[in-house]
Amino acid sequence: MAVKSLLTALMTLLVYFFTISLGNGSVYSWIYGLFLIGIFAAIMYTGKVHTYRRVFQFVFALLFTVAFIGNLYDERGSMAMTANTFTESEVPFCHLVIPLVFIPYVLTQTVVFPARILGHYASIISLLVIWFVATITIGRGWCSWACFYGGIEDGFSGMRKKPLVKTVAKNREIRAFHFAVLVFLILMTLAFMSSIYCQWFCPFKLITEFPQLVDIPTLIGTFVFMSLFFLMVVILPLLTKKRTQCSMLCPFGAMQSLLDKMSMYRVVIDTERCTGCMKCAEVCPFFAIDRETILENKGHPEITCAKCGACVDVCPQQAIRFDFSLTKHFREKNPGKAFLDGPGRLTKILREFIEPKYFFVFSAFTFGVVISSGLAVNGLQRIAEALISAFNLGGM
Amino acid sequence: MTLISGMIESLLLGLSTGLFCAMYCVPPLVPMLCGRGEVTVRTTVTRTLWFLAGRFTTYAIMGALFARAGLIVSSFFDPVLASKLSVFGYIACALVLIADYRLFIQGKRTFRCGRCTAAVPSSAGDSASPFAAGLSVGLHICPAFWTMLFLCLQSGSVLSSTAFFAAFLVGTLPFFLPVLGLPFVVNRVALLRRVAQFAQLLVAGYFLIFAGLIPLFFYQ
Repeated sequence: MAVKSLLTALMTLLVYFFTISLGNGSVYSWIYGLFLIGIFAAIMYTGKVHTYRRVFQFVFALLFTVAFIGNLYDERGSMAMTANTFTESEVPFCHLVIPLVFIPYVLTQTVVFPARILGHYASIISLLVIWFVATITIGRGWCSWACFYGGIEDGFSGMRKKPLVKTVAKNREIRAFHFAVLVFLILMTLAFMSSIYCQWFCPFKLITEFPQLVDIPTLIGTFVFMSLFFLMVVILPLLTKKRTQCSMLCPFGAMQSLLDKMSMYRVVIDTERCTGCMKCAEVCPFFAIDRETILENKGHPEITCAKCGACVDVCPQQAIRFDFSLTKHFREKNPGKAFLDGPGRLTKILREFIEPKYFFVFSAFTFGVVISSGLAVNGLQRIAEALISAFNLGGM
Repeated sequence: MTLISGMIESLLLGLSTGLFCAMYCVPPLVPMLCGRGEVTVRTTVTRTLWFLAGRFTTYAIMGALFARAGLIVSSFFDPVLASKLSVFGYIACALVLIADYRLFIQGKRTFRCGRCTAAVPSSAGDSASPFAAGLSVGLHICPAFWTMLFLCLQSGSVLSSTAFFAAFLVGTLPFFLPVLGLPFVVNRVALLRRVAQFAQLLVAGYFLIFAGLIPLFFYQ
């Protein structure tokens, strides 16, 4: 209990600094700040990680979309990218293309994305720094806790109580397809020395920015990205209750899966407690648990786990939990033994204090707070102002 | 320009621009090397050599054609011709990759017509497929290839142009050496074989639609 209160208090300080203070103490920053504290406290005190995380990510994604589109209209008067946007490298850098810019840069010292290197909130360097820190701390947890695009699918995938289409039997194939998409996009980016993902396959162009419709190929491109958005972000998540875009198309998600071993946290399955009910496989939005995972007693989800906490919440035996990556070695050597085992009061407090679940949620939510605060407050303000002007409340 | 100086020039051109050749060749080549059959150093070398042989065949044919035609082709020697050849190269490569997937990954190698039955031997997957892919990839016009065609055109000799292209191909070879490491990676992770198979289809789809048909109908 003491640990939960302490971490909630610490999170309140962080929210005060990143959301309220940097938001100049506006009423909107207070509203969003209180929302964040409420979500964190709910996770801490109820233990339901996935439920409240999903609310946070969905709200963040909606506010981000409103703010991003609003900012584009303020700056350019349109969501369409002009030729100047490209030639002057004014396109905000997007984390989804990080895996696609690396190899071309290493081989040819060319950045295949028309964004600013520095000096912009979405410059290449600033996002790379954030990505690096996120990778070594929460790994693919980024997709569940800090990705503004993922929240949209997360919302749609949570709308139905039960899936209409069950995918567990195909999970392995879907994972292979996801990595194939990453390989394909990297190879094609190398061959054409341009970010073909952005050119043709990014479903989020519909809610961010897209090229001007000046010829038939851009019309075809628009048709492709609109189709991908509705199929991968809306329809398939509704039918399967899975984050299909994140698990089949997103190059960043595939790369983070490969780099997740570098992170400080992981999800483990206690094979002694597990009864093989497969509830975890059914609820996992990232296709990371299938029959083989359980039958072969792997002791952890597959490589695509994004630490969303869905399996942790649903397991009736509490056999799935968050863990520190560093204690893997200790646990393998001492099966069934707690990391800090001992009768003393101090040991008990320490054991409670370094509970990996709390630490992970704290780290991951901190990223969510840092990434979301600026744009979410802006989005909230835009919505409020639009409502005020629509109902003419300002003149009252 | 003597034969020797032309060959040295071609070799150096291959060495200096081979990275870009490899970057373009890798998308059709890598899935073919990893997606089917045994993946050993021996099969990797065999398939890569057949692929390079295919590339060289196209180069030699193009070089000979340009050398025989001489300066008469100079009026067609523009970016429009280059991009058209590239587009056909993409479409041909896509068709090869799709056929390869069907024949050697799905294993549908038997064809029936009435009472007659014909089967494609499985060994063709190590030779004919990579060779056909190399033939189509050779049609992709890059600045280095364009420069080579100029050399052939100036030489006016089929023999010289073939020798120039052989030297150019040798110059690009070091950039293909990393593919020899693929068997060590693929045989460690079972999922990679399936990844390569899916990637082959995705590359074929992209070459056919986005690099082939759309530019063919709407850009030229």
